[in-house]
Amino acid sequence: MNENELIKQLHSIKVTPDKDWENRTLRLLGITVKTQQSANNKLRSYYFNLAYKNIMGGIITLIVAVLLAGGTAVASDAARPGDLFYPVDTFMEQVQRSFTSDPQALADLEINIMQERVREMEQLQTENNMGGLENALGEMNAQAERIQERVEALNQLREENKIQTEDQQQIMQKLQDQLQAHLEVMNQVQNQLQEKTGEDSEKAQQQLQQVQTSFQQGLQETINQFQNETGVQLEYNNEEQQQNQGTEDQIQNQNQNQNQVNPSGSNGSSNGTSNQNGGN
Amino acid sequence: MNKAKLESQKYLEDIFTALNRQIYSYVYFRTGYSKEIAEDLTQEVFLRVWEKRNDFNSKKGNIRTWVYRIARNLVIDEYRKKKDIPNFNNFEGQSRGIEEEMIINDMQSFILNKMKDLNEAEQELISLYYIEGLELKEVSEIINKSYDATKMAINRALHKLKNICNE
Repeated sequence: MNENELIKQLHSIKVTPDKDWENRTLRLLGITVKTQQSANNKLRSYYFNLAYKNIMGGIITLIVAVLLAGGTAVASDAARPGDLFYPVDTFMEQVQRSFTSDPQALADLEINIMQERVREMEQLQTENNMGGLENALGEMNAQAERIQERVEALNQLREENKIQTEDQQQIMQKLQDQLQAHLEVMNQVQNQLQEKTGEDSEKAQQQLQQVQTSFQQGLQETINQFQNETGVQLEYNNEEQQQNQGTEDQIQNQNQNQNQVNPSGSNGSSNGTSNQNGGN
Repeated sequence: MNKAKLESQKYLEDIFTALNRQIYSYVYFRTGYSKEIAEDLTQEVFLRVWEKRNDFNSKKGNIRTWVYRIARNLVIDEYRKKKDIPNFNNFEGQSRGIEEEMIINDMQSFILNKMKDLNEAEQELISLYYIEGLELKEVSEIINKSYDATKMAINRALHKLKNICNE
């Protein structure tokens, strides 16, 4: 064999990765970038508010935070959207996120933070603070998106056999339990809002409905997707939940039927459902 | 290419789409034809591209050589971590598996088997220059040697491989 023949043969050797691997990696990169950008934006937004919008309040907040350290963290934990200490509350949460590298612990943290958001909403409604309630509902929507991102990251790790189904199951069970509890609180808040009149109350009702939809159709669908992919059946605590699950299963089945009719939807049933729901 | 562009998710995806096959091929040949290791390490390469995006300096080379250098360091780390990684040695044992991922004929299969008799540096040069088709200047930047020294080393590696194939 001469050199030219050898070079020709070497040039012709091609090794290519699976298309499936390429798609999985692209998804993973997207999640990584979004997670980091979301954290950076939150910090940027915090510093902007601190420096330009509420500089005096920000200075006081920082001084108190430095002097009272742990005590402030406790005080800020009880803060609600619009309160002086609320930026400290969200900042502390951001710090917790930054120091939590384990994907399961991170998902667990986001679920706990959601519990905090629901508690804030409940308190603001009791105090008839409609402005604060509007902010709180916006925060809840953002938190629901974070949870979905964290669950997607866990799905990815599970698909790559980097975590066990049982490990994710614990997180999904917690999400399932809390989701139902949160929906019940939201129903109570909605009933109380309906008894009130005024433009602010109507706006809050509309926004609350959006959050409920996001919970029922976004997070619940994420839970159902996990169950479908793994064959794991999460536990339901009461009949009402079972009924809700039944309804969700029906929606899921309808979507699957639609996807079978339209093969292009085979890889995006959750997106398809979201869009449909968004249209409603 | 500038840092502002590298901040964008779209740009990272573009880099992945443009380079993932070359990087996968490089990692695959340098880690004993292991599909699993190649997939994991290549994924890690692009995660590091994102993490280290602020380190990229267009004056020191193009984006492709920068990504290759990240891959090269990862492969070296992997060798340090697991010294038993086979270096082309499992080719014969897994030839069926390899053929499923590679488009090769009998002659190429023969050449790849002979490549295991080259040392690690020579294998890398053959892989970069002839199989992945990088330019000589790019290879010299990746292995951090002068243009002339790289050219000489590639010629020497090819000559050696030719002799081994003709033995």
